[in-house]
Amino acid sequence: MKTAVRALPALAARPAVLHDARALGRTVLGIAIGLTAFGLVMIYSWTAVKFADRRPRFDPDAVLRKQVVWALLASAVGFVVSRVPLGWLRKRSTLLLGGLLVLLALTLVPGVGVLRNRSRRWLELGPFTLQASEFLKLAVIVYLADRLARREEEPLEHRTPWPALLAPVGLGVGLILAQPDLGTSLFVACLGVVLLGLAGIRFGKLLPLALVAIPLIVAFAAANFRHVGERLEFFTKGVEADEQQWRGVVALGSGGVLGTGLGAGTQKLGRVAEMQNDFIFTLIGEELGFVGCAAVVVAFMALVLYGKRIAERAHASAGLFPFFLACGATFAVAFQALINIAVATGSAPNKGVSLPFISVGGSSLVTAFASVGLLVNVARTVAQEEAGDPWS
Amino acid sequence: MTAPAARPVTELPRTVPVGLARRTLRAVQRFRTTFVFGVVLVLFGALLVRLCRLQLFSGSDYRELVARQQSVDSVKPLRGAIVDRAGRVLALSRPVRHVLVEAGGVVLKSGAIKLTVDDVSRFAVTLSELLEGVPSAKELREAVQARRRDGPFGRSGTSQIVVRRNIDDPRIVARLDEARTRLPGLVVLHADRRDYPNGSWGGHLIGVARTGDAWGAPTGLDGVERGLEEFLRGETVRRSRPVDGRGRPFVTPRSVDPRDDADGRTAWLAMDLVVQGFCEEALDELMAAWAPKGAVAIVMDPANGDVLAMAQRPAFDPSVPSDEAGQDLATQWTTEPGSTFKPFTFARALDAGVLGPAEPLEMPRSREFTVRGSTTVVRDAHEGESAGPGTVVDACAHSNNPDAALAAFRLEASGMQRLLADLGVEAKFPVLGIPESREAKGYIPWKRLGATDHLRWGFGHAFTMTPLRLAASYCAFARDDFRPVTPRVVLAVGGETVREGDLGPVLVRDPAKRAVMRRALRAVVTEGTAVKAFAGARVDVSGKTGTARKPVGEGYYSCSFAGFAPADAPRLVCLVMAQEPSVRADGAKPYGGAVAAPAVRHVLERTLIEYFGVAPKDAPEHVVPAGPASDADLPASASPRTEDR
Repeated sequence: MKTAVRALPALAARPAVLHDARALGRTVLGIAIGLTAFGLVMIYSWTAVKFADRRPRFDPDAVLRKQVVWALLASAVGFVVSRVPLGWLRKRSTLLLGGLLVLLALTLVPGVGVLRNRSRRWLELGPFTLQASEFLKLAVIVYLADRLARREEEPLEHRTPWPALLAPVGLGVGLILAQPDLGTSLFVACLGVVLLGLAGIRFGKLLPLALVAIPLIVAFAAANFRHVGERLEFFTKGVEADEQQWRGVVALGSGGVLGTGLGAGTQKLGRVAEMQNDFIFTLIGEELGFVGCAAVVVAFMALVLYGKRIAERAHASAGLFPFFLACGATFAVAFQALINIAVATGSAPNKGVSLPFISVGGSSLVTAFASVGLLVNVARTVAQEEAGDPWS
Repeated sequence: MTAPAARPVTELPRTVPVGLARRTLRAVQRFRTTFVFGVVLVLFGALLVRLCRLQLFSGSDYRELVARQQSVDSVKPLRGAIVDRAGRVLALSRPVRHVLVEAGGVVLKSGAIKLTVDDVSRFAVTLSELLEGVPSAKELREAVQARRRDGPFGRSGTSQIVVRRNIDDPRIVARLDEARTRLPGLVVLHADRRDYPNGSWGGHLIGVARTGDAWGAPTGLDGVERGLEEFLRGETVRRSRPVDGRGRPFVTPRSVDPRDDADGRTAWLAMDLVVQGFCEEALDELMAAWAPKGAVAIVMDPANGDVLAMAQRPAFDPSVPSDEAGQDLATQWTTEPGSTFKPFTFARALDAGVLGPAEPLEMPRSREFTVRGSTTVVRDAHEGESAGPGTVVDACAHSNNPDAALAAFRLEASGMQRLLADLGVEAKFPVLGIPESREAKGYIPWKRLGATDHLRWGFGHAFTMTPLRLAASYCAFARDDFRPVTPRVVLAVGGETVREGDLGPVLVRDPAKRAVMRRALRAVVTEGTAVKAFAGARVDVSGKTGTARKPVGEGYYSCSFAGFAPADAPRLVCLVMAQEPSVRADGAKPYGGAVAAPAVRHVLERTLIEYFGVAPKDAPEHVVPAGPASDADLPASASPRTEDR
C-alpha cells in the first residue's frame, strides 16, 4: 500500500502508456474492442426490433450471429497482423497490392463480382461476401509506407519517380471508380495524398496532385454515374435533398440528450435505409442521444490520439516504414469514421461509408481490425526498438 | 524491425525547402504529422459541435418531425352482441375479410397503364394458396385476365374484382393480413358480419342490422338493433399509431392505446330464448288452425315488466338478407282490445265504489242506457239466455257486455277517461331498445266522441291500444299491488343495468276487491268463456278472453286471450292476439277462447312446468324450484353482467 502511495506522484507525472509503447497499442486495441462490442449491441437493437414480426420465418438473431463471427474473424486477422514481422510485410507490399488489384479486376467481371444497388463491389465466398476495395486501403498503406520510406532510405539516384510510384495506386483508384464506388476511390486517393504529404513531398508537387486528381475523380464520377450527381446536390440544396440522409439527420436529432432508449428507436423501421450499416450512427443518436454519439466520437478521437503517439514514437525510433504504417492505419480508420459521421450528421454529401467497428459488415470490420493490428504491431516494434532488442 | 540501411550514416540529413528556409525532412515530417493529426482531431471536434446543434439545440424540432410519423386510423369497432337474459346469443358480429384483386393499375403520364399485378400466374397461385384453394389459381387467373380484356378501367386505371367475401377462418384472416403488404394487387377489406343464429325467433324484437354496400359496418334498421344502435355500434376510435417507412403501423411499448377495446357493447335483453321458443311453437299451431292474417304473443314477468318473449306471425328472419320486417304487431298494431279490457272497467268500478263486490248483476243480453239525453242499447255478444244473475265475478267470467257497460256508465265518461289515461292507452312507453318510430300509441276518437261512447269503452271498443300496452296493463292483475308495469326489453347495455320502468297507478286499492278481481279472472278459465281451452290444464291460469267483431260484414278484428299463471302466485303474464282469424276447417268460429287461449295455455304450461320447474297441478306436491325467469333467479354465469363483454 505504501509503495503504491509513493508511486502515485510518478504515475501522475507521466502516464504509464508513455513508458511502454506496447501500452499504446493495447489501449488502441481496447478502444477497438470496445467499439466493436458497442456495435454488436446497436446491431442487435436494429435487427431484433426491425425483424421482430418476421419470426419464425426469419431469425433476426442471425444477423447478430453473423456479425459476431465476423468480429471473431476480424480479431483473428488483427492478431495475425499485429504479430507479423514488419520486415516480412514490407517485402511483400508490392505483392499484396498486386494481388488486391487482381481481386478488384475480378470484381468487375460479370458473374464473378456480385451486383448490388447498381454497383459491383463484392466477391462471393460461400456464405460471406468480400469487398476487395476495403482491403485495398491497407495494401495501399503498406505499399506507400514501403515506397515512401525507401525513397528516403535509398540514394537519390535510385529513387523511384513519383509517377511510377503512384501508378499502382492510381490503377487501384481507377478500378474502384469503375465499380462504381466514388467514396472508396476518393478515400484511397486522399490516403495517398496525405501519406505523400507526411513523407515531406513539397507542396509544389503535392497541391497540384491533390487539386487536380481529386476533383477529376469527382467530376468523372458525377458525369458517369447519375446517383453521384444527385448526391452532389447536397452542396446546392442542403441535406434535405437526399431523402435517406435527411431521414438519418431527423433520427439523429430526435434523440436529444439521452435518446429514446436502447431498442426503442422507431426510425429503423423502414425510415432510414441502411441504418444498420452506413447510418448506424443515426441509430446511436436516436436511441442513445448526444451522450451515446459523443462517446463514440470521443472514442475515435482517442484512437487518433493514440495512433499519433505510436506514429511519433515510431518516427523517432523505429524508422519511416513503421511511421507511415501507423499514420496510414490511423487515418484509414479515422477518415472512415469522419466521413461516416459527417454524412450521418448532414455535414457532408451522402456516401456509403460504414462506421469502423460498429456498422454491420465483415470486410469493413476486418479492415478496421487489420489497421488496429498494424498499429499494435508498430507499437510493439517501437517498444522493442526503444528497448534496444536487436533480435526483433 | 530493421530498416534497410542503404544510406551511409555520415550523410547529412536531407532537407526540404519550407518557405524561404530549408528544414530537415524529419522535422517537416514531424510538423506535418502533428498538423494532419491535429486537423483530424479538429474535424472530430467540429462534428461534436454539429452533434450539439442537432441533438441539444434542435432536438425538439426533430422530435416533432418524428411525432408526425403517424397514421390516424378510424378504428371501427365490431358491433356489439345481443344476448338473451341467460347469455344465449341472439345477434353476433364476426370480423370477416373480403378479398379483392386489383386487376388494373396506375395510369402513367404517357397514358399507358402500369398494371399492379405484373405476373398474373404467379400472383394467382400465391393468392389461391393463401385462400386454401378457393378459388383455384386457374379461376383467379382467368378472372383477372377476363377483367383486363373487358376493360375499360377507371380514370385511375383501377379495376377491382371480388375474389371471395366473408372470410372468417382466423388462419386465413391472419395470412391475408400478413400478405397484404407484400403482395401488390391484393386488396383485403375488413368487414363486420352480423349473424342471427336463431333465425326468425324474436326477429321483430331483435330487429336487424345490415350494411348498405356490403363493405361498411352494419347499421341497425329495426328492433333492438335500431333502438340500441348507439350502444351496439360502439364508438369509432380515431387512433394515432406510429408507422414505419412503408406506412405500416407498428407497436412499441409506448404506442399501445388504452382505447384499443373499441368494440361495441353487448346488449342483454330481457328475452328468454326458451320462452320465446314456446311462443313460436304456440303461434305455429295457432296459424295452422285458424290461418289468421297475423298473430302476436307476448310473455312478460309481472314482477318487473321484463318482456320474456315477443313472437309474431308473419315472422321476420333477420338472417335472410331479403326479408323485410314489416309491421311489428306487438308495438305497432293498434286494435280494439275487446273483452280483454272488461276486467279493467270492473276493477276501476270496484275501486271507485260504484260497483259492489257482491252486488247482484242481471247479466242481461242487452241493456238500454241514457246519457245526457242520448239513449243507446248495449247488447251482449253471446246468444241464448242470460247466464245471470250473478256478481261481478260472473259478469267477468261470462264476459257480459251490458254489465261492463253498466260499470262504465256508473264510472261516467270522466272516470273511463281517467282509466284510459291511467293505462296510458294514448301514450308511448317508451321502451329502451324499441325504436320510437316502431312504437305506436292507442287511439281514442275524441273529435267524434258521442255521449255514450264511454259505455263501449267499458267492453274494449271505440278505442285502440297496442298488444304490448295491453299485456303491460294485465301485469297489474298479476301483481299484488295491482299496478300496471312498463315493459323492459333490455336488461343491461353498455355495462349498466337498465332499471325497471315506472309503475302505473294502482287499479284497485282494497285487498278484498283485488281478491274479487282475481276470482273473476280465474272464473273466466274455470267456468267462463275459456273453460274449454283450459280444461285439464296442468297449471292454474287466470285471464280474460277477447273477441272483436268487424263492425261491417262478417268476420273478426281480433281474437285474444290475456292471462297469468300460476293463478295464486303469478309469475308470468301472457297475451296472444290473432289478427283477423278465419273460421276453422271444421266450422269452429274464431273466438278468443278458441283461438288465443290454447296458445296461451301452451306457452304457460310449457314455460312454468317444463322450464321453470313448477310442479303440475295434479302432481303429489307442489315443488317450486327456482327458475330463470327473473334476474335474481338466473345462475351467476347467465345473469347479465355489469361489465363490458
